[in-house]
Amino acid sequence: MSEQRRRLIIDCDPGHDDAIAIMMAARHPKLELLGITTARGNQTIEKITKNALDVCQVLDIHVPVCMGMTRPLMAEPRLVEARIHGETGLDGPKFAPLTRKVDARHAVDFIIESCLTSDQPITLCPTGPMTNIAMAIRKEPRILDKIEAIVFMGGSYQHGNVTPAAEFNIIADAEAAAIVFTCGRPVVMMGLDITRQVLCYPSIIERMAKIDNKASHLFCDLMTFFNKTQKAVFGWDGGPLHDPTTIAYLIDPSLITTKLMFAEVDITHGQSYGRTNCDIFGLSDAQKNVHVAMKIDVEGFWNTVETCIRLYS
Amino acid sequence: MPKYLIDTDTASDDAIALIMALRDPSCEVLAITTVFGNVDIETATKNALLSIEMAEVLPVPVYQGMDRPILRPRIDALDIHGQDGLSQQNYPNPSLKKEAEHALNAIIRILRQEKEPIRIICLGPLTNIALALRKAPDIQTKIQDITLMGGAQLGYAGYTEVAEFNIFCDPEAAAIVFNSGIPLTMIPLEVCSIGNGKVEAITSLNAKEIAALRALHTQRAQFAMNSTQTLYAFCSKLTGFKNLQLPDPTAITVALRPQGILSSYTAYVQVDLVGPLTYGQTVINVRGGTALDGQVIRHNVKIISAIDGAFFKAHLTESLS
Repeated sequence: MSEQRRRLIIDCDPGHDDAIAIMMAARHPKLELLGITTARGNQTIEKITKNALDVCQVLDIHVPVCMGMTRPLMAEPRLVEARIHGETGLDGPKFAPLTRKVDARHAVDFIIESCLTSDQPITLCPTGPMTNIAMAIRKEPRILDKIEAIVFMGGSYQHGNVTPAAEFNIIADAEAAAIVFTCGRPVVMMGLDITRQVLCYPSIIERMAKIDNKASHLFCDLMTFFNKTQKAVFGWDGGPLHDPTTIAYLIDPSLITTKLMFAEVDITHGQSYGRTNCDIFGLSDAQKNVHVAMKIDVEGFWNTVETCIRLYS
Repeated sequence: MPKYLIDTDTASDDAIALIMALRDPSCEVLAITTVFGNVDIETATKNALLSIEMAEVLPVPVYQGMDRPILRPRIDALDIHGQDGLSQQNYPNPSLKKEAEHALNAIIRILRQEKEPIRIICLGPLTNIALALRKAPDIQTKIQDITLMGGAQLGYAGYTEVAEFNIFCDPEAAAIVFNSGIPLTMIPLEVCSIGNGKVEAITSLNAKEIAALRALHTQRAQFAMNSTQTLYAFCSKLTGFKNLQLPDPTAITVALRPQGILSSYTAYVQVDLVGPLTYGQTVINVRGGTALDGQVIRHNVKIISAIDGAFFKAHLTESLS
C-alpha cells in the first residue's frame, strides 16, 4: 500500500488561482480532498460558491461544497477584486449550466464536523480570507487536536499588494488571521514573497494546452483571462499562481523552503494594519509559530502543476 | 406575549435574573444560552440549569455557547461571585441537562423558525450574539431588540478606569453588537447600584432588605441570598457599607417591566477597540445631527440612566416569593 493520503479541506474564494488549487488537490494520489468551503474574498459569497461548484462540475470532482462566512469578523467588507477576477469572480471559461448543489451545512460547521469525526488529522488549506477557519477554531476549540497544519496562501514578509504593508487575504480579515496565527497548531505561510515568483507566462499556458484534457482546457481559459487583468493592473506578462503553491507544498514539500519563525498579524489599526510581521532574524524571544515560505523551485512547481493536470487525462 | 432569548454567563446575580424572567407570566423564554464571563462556560451552563430548577417552572432548553472571547484572553469574576459563581454553597449538580446543539446554531435556528421578531436579553459578554450575527446575518431582522447589562457612563469606573466587565470581557464582540443597527437598550453598571445618585433610584439592597427577602422562607429566596453572599461581601467592601448590587436582575426589570424605568436617553455609543487607556469603553455621544467632521451621528442605543429602586425591589420580591 502507498503511504496514507493527507486529508485536507480547501477553504477558498474562487478566484482563478483558487480554481487551479482545487484542480490540483482533487485527483492527486497523495491527497484526499474532503471538501471545499467558501468565504467572502475575491467576490461575494454567492458568486464564489457558484464558482467552486462550476469547477467541481466541469472537472467531475465529487466533494461537498459548503458556503461559509459572508463577511469578515471585525473589519468592514472590502471591495471585491473584480479588476483581477472579473465580475463573476471566475471570468474566462464558459461553464455549462450548473446542476451541482451547494451542501446544506455551513462551512464553519462542516470544518468542525469533519475534524471531530475524522480518525486522522486534517490539514486546512485556506486560500482566501481565514474567517471560516477562525470561526471554527473559536466555536469548537477541540478541533485543534485534529488539525495537522494550516497551510495558507496569504501575507508577505516583504511587502503587501493592497497596502504597502498588507496582502489581500490577510487584510480582508486580519482578526481572523490573527486567530489562526495564535491557534497553537503548525501554520505554514505561502506569502507573496514566493507566489510572485510563479508567474504564468504565455509559454506556460502553451505548455499546459498541449496536454489537451478538461483540466488543461480550464487551466488555459482561466489563465488567459487572468493574464490580461494582471497585465492591465500590475503590468506583468504572467499572472502569479498564488493559491496553488499551498497544494504544491502538500504534494512535494521539497519544492518550497520554509523557515520556522515568530510571526504575528498587525491588528492594531495603524498604518500597517493587516501586515504579517515575520521575525526572520529571531529578534523576539516569542515562541516560533509560523513556517514562512522563503524560496520556491519554480521549474519544479510547474512540473507539479503539469503532473496534476495530466491526472485528468 | 413577547418571546425572549436570554444569554447569560450564569453566576450569582444572573441566577436571580433567570428566576425573575422564568417566573414572569408575561414573558415566554424560548431558550437560555450560556457564555463564558463571570465563570468558565461549563460552570455557567451548570448554574443556568440549577437556576431553572430553583425557579420551579417548566424546563427551558439551555444551549452552551462560546467558551472564550473573539480575540483577547479570557478573564473571569471568580473573586466577585466565588469559585463556582454561586458563593460556594455546595449545591448538588442539577438533574436537568444541557442541549447538544451549540448556542450559536441554536440562536440562529430559533430566530429563523420564529415568525415574529424575538427579544434578546444579554447578561454577560456579547460573544454569542456577535458571532451568531456574523455567521448568519439574516437573523438580524428577527431580533426585535436587545436589552443588555453592560457598559458604563463616563466617570464611572468598572473593570478598568473606563470599561465595564461584560464589555471588557470581549470588546470586539460588543463592537459588533453595538454597530449592528439592532435596537439596543443598555443598562450601565452604575445604574444597577446608585442609579443617578437620587434616593429613589438606588437599586442595591441594604442589610434590612436582604433580611426581608430571607424572611420569605422560600427555597428561591434562600437560594438567591445564599448564592450572592460573595457578591454581597465584595460590594460591601468596595463601597464601605453593607449592600448587595444586582446588575442582571435590574436588566430583567428593564426588559420585562419598563414602567420601572425612571429616566433614559438615546445616544450614539461605540466600543473602543484601540486605545491603551480606553479599550473596552462604551464611548457615549449624546449629540445628534452632523458632527464638525461631517459624520452623521445616529443614536443607536437607549441608555437607562435611572431605575425606580422600590419598583425593582418589589419585582424581585414577587419573583422570590
